[in-house]
Amino acid sequence: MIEARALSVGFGPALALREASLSIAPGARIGVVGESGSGKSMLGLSLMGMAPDAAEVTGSLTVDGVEMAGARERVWERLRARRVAMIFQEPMSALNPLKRVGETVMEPLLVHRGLSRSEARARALALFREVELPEPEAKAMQFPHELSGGQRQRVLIALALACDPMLLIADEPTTALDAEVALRVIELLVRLSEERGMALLFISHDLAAVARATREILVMYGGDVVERGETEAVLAAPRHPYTRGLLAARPSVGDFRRPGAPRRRLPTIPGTVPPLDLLPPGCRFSGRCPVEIARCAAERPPAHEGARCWLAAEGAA
Amino acid sequence: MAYLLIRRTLGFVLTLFAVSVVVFAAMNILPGDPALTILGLDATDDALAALRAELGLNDPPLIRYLHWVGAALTGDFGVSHSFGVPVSGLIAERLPLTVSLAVSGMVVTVAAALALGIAAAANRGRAGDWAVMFLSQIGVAVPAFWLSMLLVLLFAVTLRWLPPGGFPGWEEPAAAARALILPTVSLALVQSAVLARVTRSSALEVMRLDYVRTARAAGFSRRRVLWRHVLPNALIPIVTIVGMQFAALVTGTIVIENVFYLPGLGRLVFQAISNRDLPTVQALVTLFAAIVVTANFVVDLLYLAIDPRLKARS
Repeated sequence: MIEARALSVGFGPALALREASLSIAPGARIGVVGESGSGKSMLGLSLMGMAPDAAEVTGSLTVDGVEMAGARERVWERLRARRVAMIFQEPMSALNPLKRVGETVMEPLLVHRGLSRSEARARALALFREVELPEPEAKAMQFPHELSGGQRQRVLIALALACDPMLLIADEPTTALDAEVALRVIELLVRLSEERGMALLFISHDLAAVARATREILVMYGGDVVERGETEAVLAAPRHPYTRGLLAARPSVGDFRRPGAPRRRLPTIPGTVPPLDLLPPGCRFSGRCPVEIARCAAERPPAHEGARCWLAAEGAA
Repeated sequence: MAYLLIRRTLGFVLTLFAVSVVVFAAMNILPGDPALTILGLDATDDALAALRAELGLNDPPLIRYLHWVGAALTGDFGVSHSFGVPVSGLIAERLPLTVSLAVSGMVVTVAAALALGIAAAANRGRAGDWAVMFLSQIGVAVPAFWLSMLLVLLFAVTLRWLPPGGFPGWEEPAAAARALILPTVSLALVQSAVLARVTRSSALEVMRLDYVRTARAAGFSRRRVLWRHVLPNALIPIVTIVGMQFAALVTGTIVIENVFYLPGLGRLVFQAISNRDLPTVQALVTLFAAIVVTANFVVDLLYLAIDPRLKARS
């Protein structure tokens, strides 16, 4: 069980993550969506104690009831070694190019688990089979540049699973992959989560991927969690104007023009995400929000039924 | 892979051939008459002419070059004019000292530079980093011969810990090793300053990469990530510089052996040039060039051993 309470990551006065709260139960599958700069990667990194050195992290994070705030690097290293694992966007560059991928997956087993080389090798091959890497014996002897993008991502997942974590954080794991390969990686992550009872935090800007992979969803903007709820419910009936904009800006298959079909312009959210230090102090989305009211820019809206929006709060009042 | 090896080996042989031509040409263009040097200013014209004929100095250059190369390939570099003994014997006698000096200088350079460079990168922007950068800046700026004289003043003259120069011979290993400490340090200080800076920047470059983050996310300690993941990947530019530095160290022995009065190849080449001892100079310059070319060849092979991606490309 992992609990984050009012977790913030600041660079001076600018907040990359603003008082995010989140509880992750065993086997939970939670999606985090948002544009780049929304703080979704920072949320993932801060759960690993891997926020940049220059950042100031405040708030509380407990893992199985143990408070991690202010923990020393050694303690974080032990957490990463045993409890929480993470995979990243670029499978091309995320593997050490000088190591055979089998050796890469054996390393945590040798170092953290203290297995012998032959035990570690057998375990690495079992992991390769679990993540459905084709020809595991042959692939284990190859170097990263000899594998395809999808195969590399599978190797990275095997590495993350090596010490049986209770939470896997996947930061844009499918963004760099072909659509077909991405789909199969998502299916793999869901299956692994179900079979192992392992929680999955799936960070992506791709709503379709998140819809497929998760049951719960957090929508982030400007470092704030602006909306949360069950994935299906949020995507079917978004309450926050930002979530609505995000959903409207999503192309559907029908948008690709058939000959003679009328042209439909894809709606976009006007403007761009301002830099961190220029975000409005109230609702981070004010300034770009189509339904903004007077108090939005200055006062931070409370979370109301999952949406951090004055309109939702006042509509209920 | 095989193609690459053949190409590199061919390049190696061609470079040595070019070196032999250049050395031979240079020695023949230089003013000075070996016969005159050997017999002295009082020699009669007849005696000089006879000696020139005996040394083969009247033959056309091409014939003399072929004679020289042909003999050199069998290990015969002719007879030294000034010492009156075969050049190959002179070299064999002095080679161990110069090789020991160059190799120990290289070992000290690499060990010091890797430790300091990695430590600086790991402590980027902090006191340790600044200290390494400051000291290495001084090391880069200071000439080795001047530094070696300062070292002699401090450790030999003032503190009397080490001999100021000279060499007791290999029969006394302990004394021989002591005699080589200051020359080794003099050689290595400047080179390790350069290499430490290269190591630091190369390591910093690698530390930004995704797979270093992957290793940290897998729960490995900073130290393990640094030595097992960052350093091997940072080695390519380091090996390049080490190859060039080995050449600099070998030629650096010429200065250092003269400062410390060590009977190695460096002193021999100095004496041979002063004495216009053509066969000796030719042999030594060729030998130094061969060492440098060989070092570069070894570096090329090391690249292949370090980086599996190069094998795929070749």
